Amino acid sequence: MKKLNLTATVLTVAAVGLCLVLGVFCGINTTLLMSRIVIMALFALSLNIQTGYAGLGNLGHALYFGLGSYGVLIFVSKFGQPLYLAIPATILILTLVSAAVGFLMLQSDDKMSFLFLSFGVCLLVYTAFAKWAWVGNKTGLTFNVRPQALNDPRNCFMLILLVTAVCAALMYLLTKTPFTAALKGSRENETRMVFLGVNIKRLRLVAYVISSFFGVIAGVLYAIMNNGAYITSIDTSMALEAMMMCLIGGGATFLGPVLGAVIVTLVRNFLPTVTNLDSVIFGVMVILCCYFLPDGITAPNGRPAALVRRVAGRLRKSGSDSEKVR
Amino acid sequence: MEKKIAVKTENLCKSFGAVQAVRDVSLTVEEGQMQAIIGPNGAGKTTCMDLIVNKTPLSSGKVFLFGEDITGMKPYKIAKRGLNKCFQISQLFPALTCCQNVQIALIQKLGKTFGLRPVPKDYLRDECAAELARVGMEHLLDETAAYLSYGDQRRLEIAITLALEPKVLLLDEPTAGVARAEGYSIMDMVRRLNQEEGYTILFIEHDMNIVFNYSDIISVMDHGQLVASDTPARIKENEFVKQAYLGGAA
Repeated sequence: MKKLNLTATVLTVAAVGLCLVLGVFCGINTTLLMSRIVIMALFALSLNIQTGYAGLGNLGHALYFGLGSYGVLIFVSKFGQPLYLAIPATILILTLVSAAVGFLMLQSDDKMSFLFLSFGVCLLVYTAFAKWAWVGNKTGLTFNVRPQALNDPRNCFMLILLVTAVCAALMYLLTKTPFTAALKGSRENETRMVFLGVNIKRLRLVAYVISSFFGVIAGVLYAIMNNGAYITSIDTSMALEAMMMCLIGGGATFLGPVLGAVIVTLVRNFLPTVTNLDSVIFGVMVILCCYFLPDGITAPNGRPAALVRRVAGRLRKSGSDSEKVR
Repeated sequence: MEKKIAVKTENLCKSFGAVQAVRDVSLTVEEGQMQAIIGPNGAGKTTCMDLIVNKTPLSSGKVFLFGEDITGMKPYKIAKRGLNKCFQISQLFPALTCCQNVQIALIQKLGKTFGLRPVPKDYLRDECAAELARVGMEHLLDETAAYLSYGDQRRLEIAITLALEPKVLLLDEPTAGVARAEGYSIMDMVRRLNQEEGYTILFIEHDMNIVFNYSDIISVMDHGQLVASDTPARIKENEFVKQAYLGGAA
């Protein structure tokens, strides 16, 4: 197990290093793409608190991502507040909103009804924003919210990477708490948890609020990166994409959603430049993933992990054989 | 000294449409007692137990736990008060290890379910091992629950429930689906918990040998009604029990 932990640490450090090199030294387009990937990784990690640990499917997580973006833009462009006030105000208000919305959505114990309620609420807000002229209808809001220093995309990228790293570290620590152990219990067997004396609604609500909190931060970063808030950020297809990231990467491991975010973002960015059948290819990819990798690429008992173990075993064996020959 | 009444039900009734599954059941379980509920299939035993813990909402009647009225209370609140149930079909956390299964119960007992402070990987491991040792499963600490034998799954469920240190333990057919010898081994363990650790136990069982050997009081149910409730010796003489279980010859 220690070996696995070491491997995960080395891989994480290498990935962050590679990210930094690509984002800072490889041209503006790569920097922008890397910024997007990093934000999506944060977004997927935040969703995974619900889907991976609590076992709650959510088709409306984009709500907090989108509202996070809109919040910053509204505070700065409509109310004339500075960015350093707009950010905490947005995070605080939306976290409180998530507590109220989550409380209502979790009144039913049924996971399926939660899934569709989350979808419905997201769709409702999307439609309202799309028809609300004050928030720019379907065009969204654009305003120069970034301070001067962040106008260089590389600086902006580094800020995004730093904030994401801090949030990811916090979420990682969260996975080591008794709360997450209980959350896994609620995912595995709701009835048992109830008859252990656990208030399952409250448990899920806390997970929902924490998840939304980090989702809002991802949205805030997205607003800073783009100097804008767009209706597509609240779109249910955005929420669906986040679910795909968790599904493809694998929700059982902490870094699974990050890998999913990298794959999905790259595919969604590059495919349209090559073919106009991008959505079809993406759909096929999702189907194949569901069929062959139902628990995601990083699932500890999945095929890729088995392959890695087999290759590592052979390498070790050939190493010890060559030593014997010597 | 007079013993306290641990669980008392007054005229419990439950109807599913036109079918009356439980009718006017008034049960009393004394503290430290090991009481069995028997009855033919469909007699309403499991429903009765579900009504006590409010897994199934009752139509009418009252339930008391150590004198406190717990009628209609949310199941998790009843569980928190020390009335804990093991189900007929084991309710485990299948993808987790035995240690993690018990750990979740211990976390709840310690009131740390909402604890947001990171803990080391071996958090409560020794305590989990001790809990598993109570049911003879300490050697299966790191085994995944889903891969255990059915008998061990039953034991694990009891271990999870015991980790909460319940005041009253409800066991719904603890030996169902396990080999006879394994069933007796489980019941020996349950009896030990009752005699050595003083647990109050109410259990449902079909095996008459187990029922007559391991209980202080036997309650007999039929067609949703409580037919009799007495000591094993007297129940053996009961006409209904003779007809239904002992072939009418005993």
